[in-house]
Amino acid sequence: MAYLMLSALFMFLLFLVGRIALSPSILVETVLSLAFFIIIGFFLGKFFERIRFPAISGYLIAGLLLSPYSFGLMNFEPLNNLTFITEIALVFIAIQSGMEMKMSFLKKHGRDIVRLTLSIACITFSGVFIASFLIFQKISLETPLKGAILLGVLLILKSPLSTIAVIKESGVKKTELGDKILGIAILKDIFVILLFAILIPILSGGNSSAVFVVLELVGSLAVGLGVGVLVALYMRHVNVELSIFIFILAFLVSQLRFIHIDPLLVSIITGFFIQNFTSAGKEFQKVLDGISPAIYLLFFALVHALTDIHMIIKFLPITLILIGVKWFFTELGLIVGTKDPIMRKFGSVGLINQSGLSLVLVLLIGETFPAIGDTIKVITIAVIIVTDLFAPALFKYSLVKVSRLKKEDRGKDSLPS
Amino acid sequence: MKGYFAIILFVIAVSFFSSRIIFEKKRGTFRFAGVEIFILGVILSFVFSGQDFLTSLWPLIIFALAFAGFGFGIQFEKRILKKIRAKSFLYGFLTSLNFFLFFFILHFFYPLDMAIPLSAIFSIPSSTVLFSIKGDKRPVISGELSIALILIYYTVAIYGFKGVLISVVLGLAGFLIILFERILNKMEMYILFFGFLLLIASLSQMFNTSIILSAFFMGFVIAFFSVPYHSSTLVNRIEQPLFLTLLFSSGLFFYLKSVSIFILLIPYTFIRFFFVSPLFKKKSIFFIPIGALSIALSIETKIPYLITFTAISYFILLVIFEFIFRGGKWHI
Repeated sequence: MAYLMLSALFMFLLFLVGRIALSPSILVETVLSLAFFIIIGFFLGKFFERIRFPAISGYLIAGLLLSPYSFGLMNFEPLNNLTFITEIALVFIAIQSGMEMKMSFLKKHGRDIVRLTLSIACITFSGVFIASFLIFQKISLETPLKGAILLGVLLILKSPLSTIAVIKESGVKKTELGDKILGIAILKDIFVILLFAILIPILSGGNSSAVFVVLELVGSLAVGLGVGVLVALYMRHVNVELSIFIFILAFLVSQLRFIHIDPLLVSIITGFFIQNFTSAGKEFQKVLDGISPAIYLLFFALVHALTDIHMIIKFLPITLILIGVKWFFTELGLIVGTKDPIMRKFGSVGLINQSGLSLVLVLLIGETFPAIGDTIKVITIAVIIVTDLFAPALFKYSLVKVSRLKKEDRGKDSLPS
Repeated sequence: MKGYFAIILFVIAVSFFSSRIIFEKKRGTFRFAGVEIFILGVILSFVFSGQDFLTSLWPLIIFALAFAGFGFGIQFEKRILKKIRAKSFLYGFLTSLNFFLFFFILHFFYPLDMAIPLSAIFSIPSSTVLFSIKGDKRPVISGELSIALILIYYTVAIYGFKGVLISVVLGLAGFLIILFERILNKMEMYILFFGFLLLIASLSQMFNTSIILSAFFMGFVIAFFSVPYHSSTLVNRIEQPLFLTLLFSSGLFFYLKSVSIFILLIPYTFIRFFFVSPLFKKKSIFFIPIGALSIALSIETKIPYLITFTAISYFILLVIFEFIFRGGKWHI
């Protein structure tokens, strides 16, 4: 409760500053906005952690509260000045996703997970695509087909980071359910990033020849490997100020888009390469884990601050329908993809909440398709908010229950007949 | 803004990587530590002429200024303050006299907005050099106390009593840091600490007071009312790179004409030595170098004339100090 009160206190301070301070230069106002984002986001994140929700939910609420659309506590210009942070965060999130893919894990569960991922992804995409196409036609969205395809792909995603967080928080050691859900979440990330790398040039109608798309993909893969090698060499021969080095690297990679190289793909390949083909994986992960809380805080708060809360409320019914559709088709995907009764019964709650990566992709959509970008962004953010409110808690409950059932089974087996 | 960030990132990288080389190579000696970075700044000031480059760096500079003030304030732990004796106050009094004497002389030649910071810059000893005194720590405590006094005089003279009051109020944020120091882990603490430092820096700018003094009070509150755990480790970790950032910024403000006031260094050295020598005898030479905080103070004024003068004086006086202290033996 103290954290909540502190957040309220700092929001009141922001309100007072806006009323009584001298009008500052835009740079000072940008620094001030950054400071308030960090402080209020941090306190709200801690509050949400206390009530057993992911801290990300707190950052997200902080963003919505500080948004110029909600209470007008901040202006648009300083916020727009800070949006470059989201591009860097994109690289961090993708590198971390790549690092989650451990070869040993893939070898053990690979076949099962690939089959499940493909069945869930394809079935969920079909369901969401049809539903959103009908909805977009109904609300007369410009180019409803493009919108439905993009939203269909986006809603496939599931957050690996929140999965890891929930597994850790649940205190349940190694369950097949947890492992499989995590594997699916990671594979979905890669699958969707690859799909986006192909879809964006095709749907945008620019240089959309197949050769160009393939070149872009191959180029991204090569650069990703190159960056991975560079990191490994740096860590072997220099290995000082690693966090600064990663920041510079993340910034440079985030700018690769200007030479038609996909930063997300590059980052995910880099993460995968470092984790599996170098001895630097553990140390790199440690540094990344150290930096990432600050990056996530700023990323989630900033993206949500630039979201119109009134639009979210307006789109809430559509959001709820789409979450229902996503849930139903995920269940269907599980039925088709596996015979494991535990996965069938509990899997969907672990797969329903929307990934933070979708926010990154939403920004990309906004830049490439301005006419439909805002609507897709609002719906995606609304899906994230709503699913984050209940899915992590349900997943945690499922993990605990599965673990208890296993223990009971073992107990029955060991009883003398 | 992305371009601005690229520049900031470049400066941060230069500062962090070079601090590894500069301070590790020159461990134990102060002479010219960081001059490479200053010269790099000077060169870039010719390449990127105009205000844009400096404007882009301003967010980083105000953070570095706040950090300089905080880093100084956090040295005021209770156990150090307990060692304050009458002699320390006597030195504080003499430093005040030093400040007012300089101000009296300088105000005939310079406008007030130059004379006041110049007097302050001339009265701030280098706490890093003072800390290198072995054995008796009384000169260190006296030096620290005098720096705090000069900071307050400077703020009163430039921003008025209201400025000091605002700085004190902003410094109270230190109590919130104390509240969380034991509860939060190191990384969480760093995030919160960065947030508060940015907040204090930007609010000081908005309410027209000294960033350095506000951050100093925050550091002071933390050091005096608790045992700083994470804050002090953070200070140790990024103190040197941020100092290099300040030196780099000084180079960017380079103003050739300010060379003409180097003549002031001669009376400065004599006056400073004259005031201190009856109190600390042989150790008085430790009071000759001007503090890194002076560089921060000069940057806060944004007057290129003053900034260049301070940075170059800083190096010259360090060389004079090392030359006298090490008996003329040059350590390369």
